[in-house]
Amino acid sequence: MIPRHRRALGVLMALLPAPALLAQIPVITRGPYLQNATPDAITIRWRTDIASSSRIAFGAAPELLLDELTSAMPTTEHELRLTGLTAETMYFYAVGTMTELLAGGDALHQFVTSPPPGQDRPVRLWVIGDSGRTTQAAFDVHTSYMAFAGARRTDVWLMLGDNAYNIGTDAEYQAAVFDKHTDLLPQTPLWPTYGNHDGFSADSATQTGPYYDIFTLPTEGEAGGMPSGTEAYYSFDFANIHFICLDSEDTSRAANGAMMTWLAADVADTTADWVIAFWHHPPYSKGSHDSDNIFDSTGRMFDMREIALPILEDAGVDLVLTGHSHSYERSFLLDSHYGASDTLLPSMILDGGDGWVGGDGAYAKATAGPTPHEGAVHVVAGASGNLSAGTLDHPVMQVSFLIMGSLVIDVDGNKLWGLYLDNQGQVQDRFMLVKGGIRPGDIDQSAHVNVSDLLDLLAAWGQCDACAEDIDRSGDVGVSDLLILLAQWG
Amino acid sequence: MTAGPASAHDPSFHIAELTARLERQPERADLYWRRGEQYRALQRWDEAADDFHAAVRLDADFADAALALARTNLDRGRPDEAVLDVEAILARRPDAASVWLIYAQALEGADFSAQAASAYGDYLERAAAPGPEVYLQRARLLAEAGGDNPAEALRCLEDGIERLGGPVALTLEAIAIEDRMGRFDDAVRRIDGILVTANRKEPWLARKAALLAEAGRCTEAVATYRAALEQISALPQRLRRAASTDALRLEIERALAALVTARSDEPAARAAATGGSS
Repeated sequence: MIPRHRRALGVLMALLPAPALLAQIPVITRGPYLQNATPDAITIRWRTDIASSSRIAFGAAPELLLDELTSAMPTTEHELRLTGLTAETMYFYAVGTMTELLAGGDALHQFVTSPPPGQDRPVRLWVIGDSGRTTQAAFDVHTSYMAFAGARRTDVWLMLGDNAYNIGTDAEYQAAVFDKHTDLLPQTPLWPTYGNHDGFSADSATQTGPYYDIFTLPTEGEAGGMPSGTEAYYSFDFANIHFICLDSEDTSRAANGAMMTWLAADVADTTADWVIAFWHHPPYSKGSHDSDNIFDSTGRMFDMREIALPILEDAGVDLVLTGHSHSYERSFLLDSHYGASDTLLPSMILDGGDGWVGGDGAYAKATAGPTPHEGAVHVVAGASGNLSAGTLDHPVMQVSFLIMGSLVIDVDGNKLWGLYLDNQGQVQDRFMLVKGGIRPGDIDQSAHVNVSDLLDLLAAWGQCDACAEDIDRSGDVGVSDLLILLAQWG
Repeated sequence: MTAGPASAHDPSFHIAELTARLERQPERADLYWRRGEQYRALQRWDEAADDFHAAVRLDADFADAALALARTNLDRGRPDEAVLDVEAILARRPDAASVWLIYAQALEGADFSAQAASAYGDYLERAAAPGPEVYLQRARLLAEAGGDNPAEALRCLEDGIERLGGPVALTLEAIAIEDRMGRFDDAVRRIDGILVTANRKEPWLARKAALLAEAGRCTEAVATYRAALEQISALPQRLRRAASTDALRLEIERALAALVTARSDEPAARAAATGGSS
């Protein structure tokens, strides 16, 4: 709440002719939204209908916005970067002009700065792909996730390209992103990648067009990783995860090009426990796009599979997230499959189970750190906006289906849980990755599942917000967790 | 839920719609251009080119259509035609950065390397936010041309490194060129710059040691290889045990052994390699 300013406005309105006043007070038409977050800095952007100065007031509580950052330069595209922040700290904020705060100062407008790189923290990711539709079903994808998340903060939000149909115009972005995710944009930094539909109106070589105008992304390694020199591809660290975003659409995918050269240097440099890569064109898909067809998407799926994947797997990538096909397809634990689907060998499937602790068991990687060729899970999550048919029979996929939804990922220590949440709030797929030989029931990570773990579980019985004892990530510690623990006993 | 019929993001859907509109409004250059873009998305190059030609015939000042025609000719392997297309646009819009970029790409495709390098330079002068790829492309064209051009290539990379905040792809290219030119000290300085912020120092130390060895600075090379091995030893176990780390360690040990053998007549190198003081 900003009562003092509002009272002042009321007095002003009584004194000034209405048209003159209306002409001077901007209205926020976009945002605020958060970009390029690091442990000690964050960029806040918003748009106003008329040009004005910019101000962010921020502090430890909505009524204690004691610090501020301003810019006198009149603009409708407001962008200020807060620096010198404290890691893992919640800040409330309000945005406006130098004389008037226009939004914020309430529970909605707050963020938490990133943890220091390498720190082991529970992390929640939300991943949407090809989400740029404005149908009710597309809105339901957002609504169902917000209901699922409840009070659990979303730490990292990934958008897998084709973020605004049909051609990624500013107006389409307004409708498909800014008018849809109104309750998440002020709180969770958004990290996008560039899809083919974004490419109709933008250009990666010149970094021009709506996509590049709208997003502020790291270019100099300021969020972790090596400097890329471009917003088209970048990396960032969050806690013990290194994220890599590639441009599979509009940047040269040549092995000796700038992007792949950067990728090799960047991924080899990380010391994070987890490496998650994301881009638009899937290396494996039999959805509305066929990764075996070199003419489909002008060979981009081939390039990403043949050139990007070996670099990533040489450095121990754990999870590869893509879209483009408007379906959900999720692989087994896979390694070194760089050809068409008919070249898949049994040895390339490192674990052919369902990857779930309550089923065939979690996918296990022997080493805790980034280790080459211990396998990765590939998820095509391009059904957040609409559905398009395909044969859905790629042999690397453990599950493939046509259901609209989004991917929810939790990472905690050496465990990663993924679940596909449909737009009606139902979980349609689950998988789990465990690194370093720790089994799912080994809550205290003692290398044994024993009484100590059982006592931990019983002590946490009931409601639990992404705690280690909630082994199946169902939202509470209950009988199913107990059964998993007992099954792992010893 | 099941998939719907041909959707609004399907180029074929738009082609049908635009064709119907063109039957009613054949004078609309913008409709030809839009339909051409849809054909282009489907890689139906000839139909795309026909539409862009039609758009330009209807509106000779329609730069977007003319540029799309050039891009299409480039995409369908006709760079010579693309060069002519772009030269016609440049005559009207000499300051448009994006046109210079297409021009450079067309010239490169047509094997006019020197002109392409020059056109890339013209683009970089005009572009507000160029990416590293163009700097890299221009530098390679210059370096391949030989003569004094490698030095010009390095200047190009320096410009990009400074302007774009030190992208590692450009730094690595500069190191490769300096290595070829025998400018080892400069290459070593660049690696020292990377080492300041690198999380994993050992591969960069190994690279630096190799350059020092090439420069004949064997004692320093040995010491740097040893520093790389120490760095590996200091890694947390989960990183030290990784196969890639093992491979690097073996590579360093082999290089170190070869260096010591080659320089066995130099007590300083031998002492450094075996852990003694030099």
